[in-house]
Amino acid sequence: MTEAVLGVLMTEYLAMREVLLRFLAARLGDAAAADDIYQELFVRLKSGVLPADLTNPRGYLFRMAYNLANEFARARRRRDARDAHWTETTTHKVGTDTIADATAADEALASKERLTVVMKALDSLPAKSREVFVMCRVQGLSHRDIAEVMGISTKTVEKHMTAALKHLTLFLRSTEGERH
Amino acid sequence: MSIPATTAGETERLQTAAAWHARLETGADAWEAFTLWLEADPRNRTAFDAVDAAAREAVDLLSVNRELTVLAPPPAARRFSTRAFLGIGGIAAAVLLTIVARPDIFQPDEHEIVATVAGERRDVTLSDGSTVHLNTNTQVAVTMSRGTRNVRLEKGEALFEVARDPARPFHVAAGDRDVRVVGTAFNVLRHDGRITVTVERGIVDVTSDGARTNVRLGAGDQYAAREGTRAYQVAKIDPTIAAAWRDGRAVFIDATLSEVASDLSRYYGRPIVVRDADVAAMRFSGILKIEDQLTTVKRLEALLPIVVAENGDEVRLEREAPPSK
Repeated sequence: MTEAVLGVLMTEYLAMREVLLRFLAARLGDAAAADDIYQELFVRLKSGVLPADLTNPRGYLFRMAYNLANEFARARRRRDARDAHWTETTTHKVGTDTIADATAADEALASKERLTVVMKALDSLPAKSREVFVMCRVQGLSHRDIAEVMGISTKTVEKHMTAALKHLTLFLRSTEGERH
Repeated sequence: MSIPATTAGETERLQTAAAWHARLETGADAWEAFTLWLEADPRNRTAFDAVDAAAREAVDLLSVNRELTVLAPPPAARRFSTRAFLGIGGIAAAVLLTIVARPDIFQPDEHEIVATVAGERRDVTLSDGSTVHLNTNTQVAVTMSRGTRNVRLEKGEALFEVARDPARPFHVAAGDRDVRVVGTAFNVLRHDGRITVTVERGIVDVTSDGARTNVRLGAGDQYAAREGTRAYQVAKIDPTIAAAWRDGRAVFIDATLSEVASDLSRYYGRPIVVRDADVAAMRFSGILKIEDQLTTVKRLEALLPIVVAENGDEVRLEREAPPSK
C-alpha cells in the first residue's frame, strides 16, 4: 500500500519539477533556495511517513513544498532579525573579530518580552477571531468543524481567520521595534 | 493602536496575504493561483512572510501555554444544556429553562441504562446513530430528548463515536465534569475518583460543575482531573492508546505498579493489590492483553522483579524473593 503511494508520489515529484521550482522561487524569491527545497522534498518523501491512501498526489506535493518553504522563510527571517539586532547593539569589533556582548540572560529577557507582546496581540483580537484562530491553528480543526461548533458558515470562519491573521501581523509588525 | 508605518496599499496587500494564508492552511488546492499572486509583485511574498511569521509566533505561544487557549463559554443562546443555564443563574435562566423543557412535554424522552459487568465489553448503538463502546464494569444512563442528547457515565469507561447533529448537542456527564461534543470520537474514564477524557478526533468542551469556563480539547488531547477539584491537566497523547481496550488490551506508559493494579482491577471480580511500597512505586511501560486474571497479571512477572500471589479475595503483587545463596 505505502509502496504504491511512494511510487505515485515519486513519479509525480519528477513530473512536477518545473511547476514546483516555479512555485518555490515565487514563494522565496530565491532560485537557489527553491532548488534546495526541491531536493529536500525528495529526502522527506523517502524517509517520511506517507499517507496510506492518497487521492491528490499533486496537491500533497504542493502542500509539502509549501510547508518546507514556510519553515525556510521563517528561519531566514529569524536569522535576519538576529543578525541586525546583534550587529547593531550587542557586539563590538576587536581587530577583525566580532565579539558578542549579549549574555544568555539578555537573550532570555528579550524572548520573554517578545512573548508578552505576542500575548498582547492575541488578547487584542476580537473574541470570535481569536476563537477561530485557536480552534484552527492550535487545535487543528477544519473550517467545517469550526463552522459547526460556532453555528456560522465556513465563509464566515474564513473571514474571521483572515481578520485574525491580519490583526496579528499588523500588531506584531508595529511592535517590531520593541525587540531592540 | 495606531499603525503609522503601514500605508493603505500595504494594508490591502496584508489583507490579501492573510486571506491566502487562511485558505491554504485549511487544505485549499489553489497552488497555481497562489504562485501567480506571488509572482505579480515581490512585495506580496514579503507580506505573506510577515503573516506566516506572526501566525507561527502566536501558535507557538499558545501551544506551550495551553491555558491561554481556554475560551469563555459561548453565549447562552447557543447552548441548550440546562447545566450551562444554571451556571449563568438568575431569572433569565429560569425563563430559558421553561422554553427548553417544553418540547419534552410533547415528546417523551427516551431513557435507557446500559451496563457491563467485570470483564465484559459491549457496543451499543443509540437512536441518533451514535455508538457507545462500554469497557469492563461500566454503567451509562442515556437520555435522548428533542433538544439534547445526554449520557451519564455512572462508573467505568466508555468510548463515544458521536453522530453529527449540530442542532442537538451531545453531553457526557462524568462525576462533576460535563463533556460537550459536536461530532467526534472520544474516551471517558471515571475510576478511583479520577476523570480522564481523551479525544480521538473532532473536539469536545469539558466543564467542571459550577465553572464558568470550559476547556476545549482537540484530537490527541487528554484531559485528566480529580473529582471534587477544579484543577486539571491537558497533555498530548496518542489517542489510539486510550482506545486500546476495544481490542482487549491495556496500554501503560511509565505507570506505577499501583496504577497498573488499580486499572487492571476494573476488569476482574477480585481486586489486584500492592502492599509493598517499593513494588507499588515500580514503573511499568507496556501492553497487556486482557485475558483471565491470573494469565494477564502473571505477564508482569516476566517483565518486573515481582511475583503474583493469590487467595479467594485478592491477587497480590509482591516483591520477588532474593535469590538464595
